[in-house]
Amino acid sequence: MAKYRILVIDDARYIFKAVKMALEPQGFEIVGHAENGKIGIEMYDELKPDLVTLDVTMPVMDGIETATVLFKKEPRPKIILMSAIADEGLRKSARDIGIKYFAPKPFTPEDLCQKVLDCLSDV
Amino acid sequence: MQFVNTNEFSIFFGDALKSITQQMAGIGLKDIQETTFEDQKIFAVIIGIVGAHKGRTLIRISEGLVTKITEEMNCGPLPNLTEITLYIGEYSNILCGKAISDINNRYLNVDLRLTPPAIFSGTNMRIITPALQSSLLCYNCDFGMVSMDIGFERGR
Repeated sequence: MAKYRILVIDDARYIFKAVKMALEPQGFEIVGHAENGKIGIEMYDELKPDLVTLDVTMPVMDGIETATVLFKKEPRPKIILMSAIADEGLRKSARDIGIKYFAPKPFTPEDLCQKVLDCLSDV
Repeated sequence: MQFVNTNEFSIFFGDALKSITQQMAGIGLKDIQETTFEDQKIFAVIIGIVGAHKGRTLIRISEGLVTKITEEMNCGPLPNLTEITLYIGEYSNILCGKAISDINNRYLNVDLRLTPPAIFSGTNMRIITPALQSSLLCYNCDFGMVSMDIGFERGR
């Protein structure tokens, strides 16, 4: 079975490593790491990942803006929004642009893995 | 706007500090009355708070505790001071994020957000921020001490 390919867009190296450590042992392939949304969109176009983990607060282009661009590129991009801030206001902003999956930081490997599986299987 | 006593916010920061430290590093912090970092190397993280109330948090952590937290986050030692600094900045950002999320969910229309962390390390640092009404929370554990000063502008 082909591995699902994941792109991490997050300015924190710790989060990139935590995502890698959570998902690679479960058979997912981490195909890249972008430190802001602008680079992330370029990498998304080039790598065509199956799923993106997307930080909210980043320099240059934040996660909400990045997700808005990704939703213009294709109708249902697979995105898990990640943030240290997980209040209802932010969750609503995410839902308003079409994001259904949200992972508050910090996350456990099990929670993240389950969210990735749920997001990938969501049609 | 709902009247909010910003002194109440410190409870959310204290709870977040303890729960996130437990969750990310498996360390239980104990409340203490006061702490002194004299002659110790410490890391200080300043994170601004914006929104309906403006303020800042100043987190000071002794070197031994920083080492333990960042090693737990990384599942092993970090190679250099730059990496340690970035990791402790992210830890601080996550715990402040939890605190303001809980505050935003509890109080109407405060809509607090954080500025990116500024991180310093050194010995005998004196950081003074006037015109703020602040609360100091202090904790210790087997690996060292941590204090958190949460201040908001007066007059709101």
